[in-house]
Amino acid sequence: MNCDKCRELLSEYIDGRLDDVTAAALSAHLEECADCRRLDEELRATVAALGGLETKTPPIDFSQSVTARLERRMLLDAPLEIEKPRRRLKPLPIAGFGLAAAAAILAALYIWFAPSQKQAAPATPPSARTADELQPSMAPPANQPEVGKPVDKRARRADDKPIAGAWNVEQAHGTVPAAGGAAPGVAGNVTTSAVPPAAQPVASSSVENNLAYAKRDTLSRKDAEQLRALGYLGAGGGPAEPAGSRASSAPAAPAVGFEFKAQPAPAAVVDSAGAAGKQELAAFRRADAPATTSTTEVGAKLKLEAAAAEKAAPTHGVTIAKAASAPQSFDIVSSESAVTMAYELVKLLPSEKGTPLPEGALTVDMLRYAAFKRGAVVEEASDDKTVMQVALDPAAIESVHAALLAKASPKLGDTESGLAGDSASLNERAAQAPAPAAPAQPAPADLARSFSDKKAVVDAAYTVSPVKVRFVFERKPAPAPSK
Amino acid sequence: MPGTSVEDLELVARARKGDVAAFSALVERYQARVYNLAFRLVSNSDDAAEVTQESFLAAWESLKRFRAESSFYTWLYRLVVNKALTYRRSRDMRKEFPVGDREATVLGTAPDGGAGPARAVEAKERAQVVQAAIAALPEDFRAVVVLKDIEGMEYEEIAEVLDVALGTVKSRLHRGRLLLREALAPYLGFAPGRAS
Repeated sequence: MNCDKCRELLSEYIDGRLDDVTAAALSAHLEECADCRRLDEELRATVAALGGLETKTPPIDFSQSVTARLERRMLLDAPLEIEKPRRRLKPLPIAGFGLAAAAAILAALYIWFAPSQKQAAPATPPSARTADELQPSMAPPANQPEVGKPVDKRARRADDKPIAGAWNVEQAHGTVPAAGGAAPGVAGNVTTSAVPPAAQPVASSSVENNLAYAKRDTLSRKDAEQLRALGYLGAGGGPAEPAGSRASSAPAAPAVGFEFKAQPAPAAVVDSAGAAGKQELAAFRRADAPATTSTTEVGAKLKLEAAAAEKAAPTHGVTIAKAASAPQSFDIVSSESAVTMAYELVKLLPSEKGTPLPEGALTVDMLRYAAFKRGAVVEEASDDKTVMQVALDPAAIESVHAALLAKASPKLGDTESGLAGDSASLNERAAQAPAPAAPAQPAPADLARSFSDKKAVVDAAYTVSPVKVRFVFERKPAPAPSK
Repeated sequence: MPGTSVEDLELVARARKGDVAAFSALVERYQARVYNLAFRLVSNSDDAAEVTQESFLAAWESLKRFRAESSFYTWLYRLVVNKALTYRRSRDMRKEFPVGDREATVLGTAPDGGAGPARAVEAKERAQVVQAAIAALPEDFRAVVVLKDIEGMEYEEIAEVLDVALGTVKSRLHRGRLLLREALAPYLGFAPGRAS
């Protein structure tokens, strides 16, 4: 048995899945090959480390809470049998005012919406879909198909089989793009900023039901937040997470993207700046973003790259690039420059838990790990190839990029054979590069050793767009083994 | 790992007829395993609780589609894995994983004096590092590795849970382990990689 075959079968060997003959051959190979033996030992240690993890146990009373949720769903499936719970806490005055005001607004919206919804019943009206925070189930829902995105599944179920007579409007953080001619303050010109979170309209039946569940301690987190925002539940909570951002359990992003200006926006623009895109924008702008940005503005500046979003989805969500100009591809191709650039950018990413970056020799794997921990998009992560994206403030990217170009050349003398081929081109490029606009943090002195650790050559490249850098590290076959 | 027991089948049959008590009994039976699986896939206690709840609710709703050809827990695990992966995809990945958030409480109760606390901290850190490495795995690999090396399932069961071929399980498991080995090398004391 040769090394390749041995390594391919090691996991099955460890798990006792090989037939006797193959296992014996592999065992014999391990006795004579130190490298494979070591891999065998390390894989076994890895498996043992996984097996040694403690078993996590669910919270106490977990099964009761599941049953309670189940019963709640069943109740919602039987609309006419819902008990009328008593209100335990009085709402804050502002919430009361807000509900009253909201009722008036909703009545107007209903009048405005109802005819068009009937016409467009099977297909979601574009305006309602894009301003997805607005629940269109404002009409008495008995004859109303589900349109738009509900707050959560429980809410959706309530929509499916609604309580007779209830106006099951869960929230309305955004508003529709305005239609001309509508009365001010009613359908035509409602903005989130005009209605403080505490005054968001919430159907009273929904509130009451939730209060009943709160009383039984079976309220979900999202519902609790909503109630807290309305002043029904005890103090301590911050402002409620905008319900439109329910896809994330992260702290609420800045208000970017949740405000809709009154002027009509082209449907395509609004479409392209979906809720996820807005979140993404908010996330990497959070350091220095203005407090609010209108959706129209977002839509004009940015577009969602559908393909990239799909690719990034497994680990992150979406990617945004400027619509106006295609990503600038500097296409600097150098193992060292790519890893240095990645390292410097990863250092700039916010680190809530203080994940330290490894010092000293930095392998692509460790870099990928650190980057991932800090929220970079890891598109591909295999033994041979790593593709990742770092989204940051454009100025930071440009600054690091320029500084790297300026200081790349002196370090190349240290690199090993695999990198030597890149030196010339990088030197040339570095010579042509303009002086850095701002100083960047120096790269670790021994970064250049990174790739020699593996006795393998890594092809690396990165491309820079105004808001992101995409890295591709690809391992070439190692030089022929000496044995 | 249990097969589908007679009790399971009875409970499932009753639950399919709308017997909440029977379903609650199933929840009681499987909640610990489901929660642990969910935690290892999403790396966060709160999210794991949410995924576990959602999985059971989904199980309740789709019990009619459960055929006794596979064991109940295999079927349930499939729901959990799908829920967990979907959940994680939709989560804002800029938020760092607060892994091991519950471990602090458990380990903080280590007896005073001697090497106890130090060992506890070490173990906690190691658990966090291992969990973070699992979290960083591509999801296909992560699911297989967790099901095999943490849940102790057989290859064939994993193939059933994930609805993939046996060969796929083998290759994903092996590649996942290789990735983990690289990620954990500094912590498990492996010398800088030579064999790979």
